[in-house]
Amino acid sequence: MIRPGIVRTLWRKDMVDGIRESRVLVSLLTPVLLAVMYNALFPDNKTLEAKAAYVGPETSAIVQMLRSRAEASQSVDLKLQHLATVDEARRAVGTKDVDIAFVLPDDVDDAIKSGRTPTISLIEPEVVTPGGSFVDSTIQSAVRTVAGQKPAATISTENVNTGTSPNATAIQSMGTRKYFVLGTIVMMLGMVAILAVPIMLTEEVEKKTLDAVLLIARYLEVILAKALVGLAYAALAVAVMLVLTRLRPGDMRMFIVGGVFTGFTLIGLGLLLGGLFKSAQQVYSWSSVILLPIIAPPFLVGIGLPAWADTLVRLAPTSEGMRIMANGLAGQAVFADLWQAFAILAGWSVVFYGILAIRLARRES
Amino acid sequence: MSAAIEVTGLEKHYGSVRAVDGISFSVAEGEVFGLLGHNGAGKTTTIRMLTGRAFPTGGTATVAGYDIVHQRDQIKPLINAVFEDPNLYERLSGRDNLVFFCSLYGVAAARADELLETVGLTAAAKRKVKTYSSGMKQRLLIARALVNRPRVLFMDEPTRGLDPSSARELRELIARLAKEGTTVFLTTHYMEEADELCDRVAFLSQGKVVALDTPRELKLKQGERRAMVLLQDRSEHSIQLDDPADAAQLDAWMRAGQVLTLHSQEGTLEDVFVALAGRAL
Repeated sequence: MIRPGIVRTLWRKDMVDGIRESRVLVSLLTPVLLAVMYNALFPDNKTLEAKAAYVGPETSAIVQMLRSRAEASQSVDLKLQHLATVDEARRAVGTKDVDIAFVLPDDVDDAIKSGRTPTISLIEPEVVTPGGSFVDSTIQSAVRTVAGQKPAATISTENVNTGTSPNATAIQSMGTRKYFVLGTIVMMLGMVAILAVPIMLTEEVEKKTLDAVLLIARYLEVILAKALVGLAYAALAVAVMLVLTRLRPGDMRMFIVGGVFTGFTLIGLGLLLGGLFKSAQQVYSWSSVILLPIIAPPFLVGIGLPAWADTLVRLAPTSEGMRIMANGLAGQAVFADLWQAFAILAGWSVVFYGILAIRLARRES
Repeated sequence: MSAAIEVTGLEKHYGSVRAVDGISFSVAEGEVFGLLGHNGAGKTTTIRMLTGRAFPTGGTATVAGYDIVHQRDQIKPLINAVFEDPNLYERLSGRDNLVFFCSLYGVAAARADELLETVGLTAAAKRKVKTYSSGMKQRLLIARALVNRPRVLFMDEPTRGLDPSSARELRELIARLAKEGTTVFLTTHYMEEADELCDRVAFLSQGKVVALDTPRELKLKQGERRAMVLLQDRSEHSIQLDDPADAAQLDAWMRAGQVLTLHSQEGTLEDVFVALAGRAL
């Protein structure tokens, strides 16, 4: 039986004491600083911001189409606001609060459909901005669609296999900034699990403080506390990284599930490693060798590797964590077939915690 | 008195090495019991088994009435230990170290302050342990071992590295604990310390108990029944205590007021240990 009071006491002590160990602090700070650097260096792919205002019915098909086409383009960030009067619309354009404004008659959809040729007024500055141009051309296209006009030609698209994985465009669809910041978040999960947690565990063994603790606590309670400290450090670091980079996950639930599942799996590996090394310095010395196959895959999984390399990279739990969290951060299906990612993470968890359970059972017998 | 520790045929093997080889002894409640032996004789392994940190390969043992294999959880709150190494959290303050262990044992934090005063560390309570001298660390280790008011206290080389005055203070503390009813299970390299503190001692050699008795009895068994007499004229005489002629001679010297000093020739614990284990500690 695990005693929650003992685990809580161990956890509290480790939360305070662990961070004072410089090697643990480095494992947390390095990814945070990298995330801030990537955030500053890489521009978003969605660089076109279109700010528009309109006067008229909010339910108009033209307004709906404008919104849906901006979302579908993935390269335009449309901010659309409804105004009550034409004067307000003129003022908004004049003060550059919006790139463009348009005025729709109350019965605009019916009028277009019945061929009455209603007037849609566009209010633009003298120099039209790219955002304004996008809105202008999209309205014209939307009007033709509402009128039921067939396109002058049918444009078909064929995807040619270039030997890259289907997720080759993940970095493009997310944007370089988001992709690399997320990569550092997953990297941080790896560093906390593979570096900080084993260092905290081996330090207890090395300095023999574990002997004193085990007079009252069980080993299982000790490693559970270390695992929870790892998860807490990771959660705090992720929160700091999101605040510093001003990124907001589009699907928070998916983002959290991916982060917790990835952290849980990696901490299982970290606890195993903690049992293998005799000193914290040994863990630190070997960390670069151990960390490389853990922290590199998340950066590679979405850049369009050849299929064979993509398969190889996807064996790493961090690449699967990256896939789940990418969908969570982007709020859309950047990567398909997430069930595979969950299955691979679950498989690794079974392996890591299974071996850990066997080692614990041996220790207890 | 009932037994605080009862050990019967206890064994611990590491592969083909028999670290502890079928030892048996009993320690009464409130007794100070010393386990003496060379490095590698099996002392620490014995303590590890009795404190639930290693499982015996064979034999049985109870601590505070509970089986060390099957009732470890009942034993844990009743015991504590002072380890050979200063295994403290060095980045935490002395008080934080104690408060942490108070919390683990479910004891109020006020106990930490009480113990800091007992071991004379109140002034240094808020300092990080890494700034402590080795004597201060040793005193903090003692304080930590007392947070749960243990019924059985295991002490592995408790005075190692202490200056003579700190070692004396510690020996006084151990004697006081025993007087208050705490059973003390002690390992030490210092024979004089064992002689002074322990009600009984066991000599461990190559995993086996080769002798077990009170220090006095052990010394008597190994010592000679002789006495050295120093007379006023500075002449020294060895007399056999069982010889009536020597007894008469001693009587005559004493009646004549010629005896300056008289020393019995019983052995020291060191002599006994060398005789039994083959070499000194």
